[in-house]
Amino acid sequence: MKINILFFASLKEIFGQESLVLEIPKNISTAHDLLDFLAENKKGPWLKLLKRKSNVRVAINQSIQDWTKKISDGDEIAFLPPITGG
Amino acid sequence: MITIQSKVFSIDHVLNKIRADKTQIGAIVTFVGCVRDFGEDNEKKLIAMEVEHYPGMTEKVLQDIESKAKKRWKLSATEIIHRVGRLDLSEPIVCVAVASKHRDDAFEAARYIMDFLKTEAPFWKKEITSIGNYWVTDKYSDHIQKSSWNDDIEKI
Repeated sequence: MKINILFFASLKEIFGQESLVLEIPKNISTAHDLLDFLAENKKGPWLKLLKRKSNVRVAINQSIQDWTKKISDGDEIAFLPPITGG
Repeated sequence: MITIQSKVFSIDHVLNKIRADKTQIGAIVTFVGCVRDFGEDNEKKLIAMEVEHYPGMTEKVLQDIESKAKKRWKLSATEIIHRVGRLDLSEPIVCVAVASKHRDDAFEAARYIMDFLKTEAPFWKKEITSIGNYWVTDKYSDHIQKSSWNDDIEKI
């Protein structure tokens, strides 16, 4: 399935890009699985993101979700570093 | 109403907008957050601040916070303005204005909106200093303050 990934703030700098479209195997069912899969297969910045996971929130289709939330084809998945507005 | 903009805003404009055509308003509380000249560590000297956000999600989260505040208190109107892009020292970053018949509703709702905005609305601030640029880290105290409202806004 195809997913759109977005990076913001410090993560955008770590990845050197603000978005990418990825084709991932159908058996990846949650945001947690997705990050594990990408860290294992693509390494580099994905490993860094996995290490920082406890400080990163995931938004699926513009709504913050648990890492155990199911993902689907066409989803917009954003990795959010700690929010610091205001 | 939610506004995300890069240009500076004027408090007078916000006040005029929030009370326009509403003669029942007895209280307006405004909070304005500004760019300080010192960093999070109280040492770094700031030159400017940069603010980034997640277009689309930011508006959704702020609308959700606003509608929860309206359910919780009797409010006549609310205005939330947040700036993005590069901001100079002393310039306003955010304004939350809340209007109600009586002051208690406006005071409490303004604080509620700010507490959730700071921890839930996807904005990120970067300090621009003479010795480098630093992403601001979130404060534990902000999360505690949000939790004190005992209101789950994680799922929108």
